[in-house]
Amino acid sequence: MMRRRHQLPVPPHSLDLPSHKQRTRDLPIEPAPLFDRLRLPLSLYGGGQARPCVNPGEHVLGGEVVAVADDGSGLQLHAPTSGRIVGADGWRGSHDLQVLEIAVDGEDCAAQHTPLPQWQDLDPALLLQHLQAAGVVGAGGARFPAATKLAQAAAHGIDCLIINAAECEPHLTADERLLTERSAAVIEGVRVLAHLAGAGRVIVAIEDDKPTAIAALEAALAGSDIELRILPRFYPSGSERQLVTLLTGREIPSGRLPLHLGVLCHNVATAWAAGRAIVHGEPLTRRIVTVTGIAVNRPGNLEVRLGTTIGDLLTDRGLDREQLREIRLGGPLTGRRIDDFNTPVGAGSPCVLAAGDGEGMPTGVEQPCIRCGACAEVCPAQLQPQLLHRFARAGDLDSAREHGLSDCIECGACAWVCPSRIPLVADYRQAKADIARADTARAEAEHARLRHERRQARLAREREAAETARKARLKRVGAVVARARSRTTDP
Amino acid sequence: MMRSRPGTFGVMSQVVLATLPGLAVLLWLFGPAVLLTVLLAVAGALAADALALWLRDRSLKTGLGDGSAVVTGLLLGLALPPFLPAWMTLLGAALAILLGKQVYGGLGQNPFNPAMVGYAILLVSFPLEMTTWALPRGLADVEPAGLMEAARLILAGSADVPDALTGATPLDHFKHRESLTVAEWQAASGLAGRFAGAGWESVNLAFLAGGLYLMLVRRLFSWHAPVGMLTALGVCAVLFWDGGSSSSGGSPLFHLLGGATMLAAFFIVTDPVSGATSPRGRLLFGIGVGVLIYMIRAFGGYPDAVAFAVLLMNAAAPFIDHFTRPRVYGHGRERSA
Repeated sequence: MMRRRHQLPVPPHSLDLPSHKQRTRDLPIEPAPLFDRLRLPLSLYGGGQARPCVNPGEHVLGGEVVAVADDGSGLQLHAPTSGRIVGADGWRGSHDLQVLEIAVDGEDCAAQHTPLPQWQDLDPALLLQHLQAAGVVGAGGARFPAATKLAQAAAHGIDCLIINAAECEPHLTADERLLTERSAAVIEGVRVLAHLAGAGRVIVAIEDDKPTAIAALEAALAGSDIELRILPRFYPSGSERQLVTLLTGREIPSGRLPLHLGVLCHNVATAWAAGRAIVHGEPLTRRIVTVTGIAVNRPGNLEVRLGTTIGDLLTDRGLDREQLREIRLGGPLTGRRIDDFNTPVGAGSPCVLAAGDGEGMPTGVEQPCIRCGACAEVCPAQLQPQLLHRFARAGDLDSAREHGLSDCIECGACAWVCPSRIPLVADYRQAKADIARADTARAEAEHARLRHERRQARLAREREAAETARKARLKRVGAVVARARSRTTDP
Repeated sequence: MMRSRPGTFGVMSQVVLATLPGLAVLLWLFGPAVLLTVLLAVAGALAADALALWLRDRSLKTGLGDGSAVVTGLLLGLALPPFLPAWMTLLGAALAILLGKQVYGGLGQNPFNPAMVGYAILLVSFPLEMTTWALPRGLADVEPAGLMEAARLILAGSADVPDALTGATPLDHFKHRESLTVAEWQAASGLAGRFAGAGWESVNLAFLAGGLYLMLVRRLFSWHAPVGMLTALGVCAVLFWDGGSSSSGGSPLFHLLGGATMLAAFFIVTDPVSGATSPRGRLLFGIGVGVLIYMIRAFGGYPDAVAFAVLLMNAAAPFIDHFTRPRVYGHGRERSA
């Protein structure tokens, strides 16, 4: 038996949140029913987009490729079940993203898989290609393509792979159930990731408030060289940077990735998906989602097909509209507030929270900042959120940048503790977007300037060349004339 | 690690609650006049806040509902002499809100502590009234004026307050002790009290208790500013104590438990809006206030110095913030390759 006791200290800049996990942590994973339609999100990591490669009216099988990333990465999206393509219509969400709608036929016919049980003997490049084609992306929320991250790691050379099973945000129990019930499959995926990343050392990190998941992990890891590290319970222990610092004692320099310290992090659900994709050939078409909140009559941990709408999911589990205050997709702090029931569950959404009173972000009328500093006390990036707030609101982007706005990990701890109920993270996201826009504009202006200068230089060169050519011509003409003259005067 | 998340109103209610021990001791020492002055100051602050919010077309409910005007009025009222004429109290409270807070854009925008702005305006405008304090109970058979009597005196104005009820504060009296040594002054003056002025020792201990409640139990503010201020004040007092000669600046205890020291340390310099932001900044801010309080008490023209010390450091707070920015995660510790 491994020791349960943890020696890792709780960092001073952290938050002790009510867990709310007891509502769903003992409920086994159950498959969500097959709903009439799916709205598969086509948005990808970092504002990217997948282009549908099927036509409206076409019939597809479960697991068939329906869209391909337009960035040339080879990432593919797959139909989560069999049905007919309805079309890719504009999605009335908060962003101008697209979804691919599929009318489900209810047969749930699956396409042929290509499992690679002998993956250890295969070329890693081939496996990465396979992983990318299976559409495996980061399940923690960012949805970064797993194969791209692994390729970077392999190229850079890393010595440690950290599997993030901290699941520190309140309400979320999807990873905990996954580990409790399918620890062998998860560890299979972890081995695939470790092989692809070329990591000598593998650590699975989990918070100490999940005893059954820890017991399952210990059983699955018995006799293995994969380390299990038990983290103290705090928010945000599952944030990549905080986790790496906690485990290695080193900080990831600003603007750098964990790779810089020779570390690669992957979410535990990503590892599971990678194992399914490589060993069993199953593309990423479903994930475990915790559906919870006071306003849900039958909360649970559901295995949900990607593209299932929040409306279908909540109606199926019984939505109590009397109690409902807000719906958040992806957790109470880091998730997005959802106002449209047609919003689909994506690959990076571990939770659908139908929050009642006191469950979501603190609500109330926003009041002026009194610079009490509660936010600075909990900020894991050790920023001064109250100053960033002032700069962001005043549009002083340079000062915001100088005070480390880009180091904000958007964990939401500041907004959670703010006595004035200021939606700080929303402010920061806005300011970051403004900075990105300004940078793009500046880059474009710089580009235009360079183009102009090059054009001017080219014109000058052309003028000069023309001048030289003219002079040469004149010289030639002069010579001809002189010759002619000499001929006439000198018979 | 932090857990609770009270709203602004919750914060302000806790502050009000924590002033109650100090207010109770003041009441016992100086009679109902204290309460009347505090209530007048609160009423004046609320009325001025409501007026400004109405003029600025803001919601009265959210503007007044945060409780900050009540706290400003309360802190000003606690700092004012009990028999100050009603109109001065009202004027001071109104100016505290209008010139101290609302002209800058309301709560959160003010560079100076509003209560101290009001106090400073009154002190420079009405120096006589502002330095004439009620005499504490028990001193030379003083019995504080009753409620009706106090109300009559406050409404009638300073000229009517009998000399038997008022006098200088111990700090003031100590400063003008002529050539007496500290020991001689203590023997001669009934105002000297045990070690920090009759009555004032208990007032300060009561505010200390309330402040410690806010700091340690409620965790409303960190220890940096109060500890910085009290330490600096104590160190200065030790430096200029010189064993208690006729030119002594007074003992450390005299300064720590005299005048408005504890009220300032836990209720004034802890104001987050007008103070410094980072822990290190708050420590420096507190130290600055402590040093200035001592300098003004010992070498300045005013008997107590909290208001001016705080206002001066308020002006310095942005600079302190600029030079005490905490290191951000991922910056500085490791050289980026």
